[in-house]
Amino acid sequence: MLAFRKIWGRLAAEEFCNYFSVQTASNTRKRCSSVKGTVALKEDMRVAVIGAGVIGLSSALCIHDRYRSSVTPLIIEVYADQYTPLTISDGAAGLWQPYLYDKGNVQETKWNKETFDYLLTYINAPDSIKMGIFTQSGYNLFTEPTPDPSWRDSVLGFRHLTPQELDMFPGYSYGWFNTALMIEGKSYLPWLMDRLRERGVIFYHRKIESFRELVDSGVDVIVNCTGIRAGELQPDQDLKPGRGQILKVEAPWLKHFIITHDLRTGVYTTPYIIPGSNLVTIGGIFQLGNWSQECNSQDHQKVWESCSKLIPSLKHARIVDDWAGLRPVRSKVRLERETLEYGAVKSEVIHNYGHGGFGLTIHWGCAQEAANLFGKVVEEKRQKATLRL
Amino acid sequence: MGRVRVAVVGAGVVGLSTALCIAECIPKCSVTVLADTFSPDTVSDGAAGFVYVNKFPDTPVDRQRRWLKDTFDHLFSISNSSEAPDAGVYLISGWQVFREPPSEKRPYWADVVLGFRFMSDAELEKFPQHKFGQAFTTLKCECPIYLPWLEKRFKNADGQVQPGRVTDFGQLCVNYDIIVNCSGLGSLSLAGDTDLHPVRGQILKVQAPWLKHFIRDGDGLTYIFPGISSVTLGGTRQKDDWRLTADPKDCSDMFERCCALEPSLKKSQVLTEWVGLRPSRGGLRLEKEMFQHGSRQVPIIHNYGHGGGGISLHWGTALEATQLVKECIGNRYLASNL
Repeated sequence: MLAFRKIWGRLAAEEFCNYFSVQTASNTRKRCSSVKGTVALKEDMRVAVIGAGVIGLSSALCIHDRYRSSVTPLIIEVYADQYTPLTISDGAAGLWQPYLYDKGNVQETKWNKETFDYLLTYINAPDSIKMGIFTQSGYNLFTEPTPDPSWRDSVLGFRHLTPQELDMFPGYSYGWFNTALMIEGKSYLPWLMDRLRERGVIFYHRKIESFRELVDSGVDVIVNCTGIRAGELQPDQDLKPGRGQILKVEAPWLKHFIITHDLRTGVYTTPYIIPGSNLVTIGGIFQLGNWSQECNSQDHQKVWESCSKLIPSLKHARIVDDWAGLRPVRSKVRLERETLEYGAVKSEVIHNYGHGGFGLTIHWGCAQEAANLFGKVVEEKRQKATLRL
Repeated sequence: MGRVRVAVVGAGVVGLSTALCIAECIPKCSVTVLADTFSPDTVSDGAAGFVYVNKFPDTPVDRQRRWLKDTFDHLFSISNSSEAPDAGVYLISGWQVFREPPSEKRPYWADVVLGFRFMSDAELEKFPQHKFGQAFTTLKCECPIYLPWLEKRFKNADGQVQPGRVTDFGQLCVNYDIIVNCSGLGSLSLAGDTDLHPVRGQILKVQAPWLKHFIRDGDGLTYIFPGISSVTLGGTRQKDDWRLTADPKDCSDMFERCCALEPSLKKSQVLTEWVGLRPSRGGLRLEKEMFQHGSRQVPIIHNYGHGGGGISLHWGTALEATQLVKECIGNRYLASNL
């Protein structure tokens, strides 16, 4: 930690990189030059991403991918007190499926679709298993006819269930079948970190107590991916925990996801069963405002009984694990820029948090938007620099 | 009339299910299964257990469809019950893909399976070599689990099992009133059936727990069937080939073909290989024959020649064979012989 404190003063980018033996596109400064009418500037940008869940890591990757050639040197640092496998992204079952309806929030539907399409391009790639990506089909069940979801055209093979299929699920009279993707955090996050390490991104195992702390150290842009704890850096009345508790069981004969819905009680409140690459996740708990990350036996019983009723063969499943996590719930995702001013020092923050129970589902679309916002920051900086010349 | 003594020859999926069906449906029968091979060494044990079947050219389609539907319905109700993992039966979805659209795009079994439809263009993008596909949900029945489960049910219904090879029907006529012949390829010698021939199938079992869908090439040669604890990759269809040992060339060839369909398989670990001989025939033989033994005529219900459709059709043919046994008893062939 002491060694890190040494470099908080604004180091020249070159010294910084040499200290950490970080490989960058070039460890030398570009001089001001004029190339075909455009001005290429020496511009080092130091970006601090706070949070190492799927949102933080993918934002870092997207920004680096897009701007490493045009912003040199581009220094990206990730700060988090929890890394994989301890993040909430690791605990999630990993099924790509947004909430049923976007309620006019078409941006989120777009980001969800972009994520699906992006992940699908990897499905036949050599890295697919390392990334934790694979296809899975399954059932969404209702007790009454329900309008098609906002994501019906994003998934593959969406259709309504036949009467014979509904016979399998007594108590449910309507439903959908589709093929979706699985994206398992326990594999995906390490893969993202490997990609980031290859690009010279540095990881700090440290909790950031304030934006100011980073601004003071000379960070140009902060990407705030702090999930449920965003309120500790800047109060946000809209951000609340949506506590979930799941069981992981051994039931390798199950090959479909099964998600039940009760439109009155809301999302994740009724049983769901999601087979993974190894174990099956079963759940059905959503407690808004409950900050407890401890498992409790009442929720355990509720999940076990309701899921066994839905799928009787679960009675034979061995329970391997219990886990509770806090979904970072918000009326909509906070994905926007904010300028922070501390006296004469200015910094930009790109907020990217509040993804509820659909972080994995929406992550890439949001990462791209975060990169768009970063691009605007870069552009504004260039224009200012041009004006100064 | 006392108890009717029934001998069922064969303890593969056809033999055990037929024996169980008779024991449960005809209480006056006392049923004995006679076989030299039991699970996990039967041909049924190695089969993937995927409920789907090619057409038998010499059997009317509606009869095949009925066998398939009866089997599907029977396995479907097991899959929805708490017994599913004990019986090794579960639902699986996936795709059958064709390089060129087949002449029959909607096969006779389309309404037997669940949710049958044609694949969308977006779905076909995963299979660049294939132009047409069918998506559906069917059942999988794993015999290393299912056969012991059937046998347990059979014994609970007072069924008897007698290990030992049956070399001719005559030896059974002394102690049994009706013979049910489920000897598969064994009927070549036992029934002198020259229509019967092996179609050799070699498969690989790999560790790939992330695979949840079946993928079958419409040519029937390449298929991927995720199981409970491993994934079955196949295969071969080698007519009149009696080799029971694995051929390394077949192994590498089918692995390559399967990886072309599902590239993530390149990361899978190969566990084992296996060879089985499908008991194939132009038409499935399910009929009664009267066997002359000295002065007696003993009815034999033949139920063999299921080819690669043993698991897919077993319960349907068991039900029909049971019906034939009932008719034998009703026709009083036995009364005249007792």
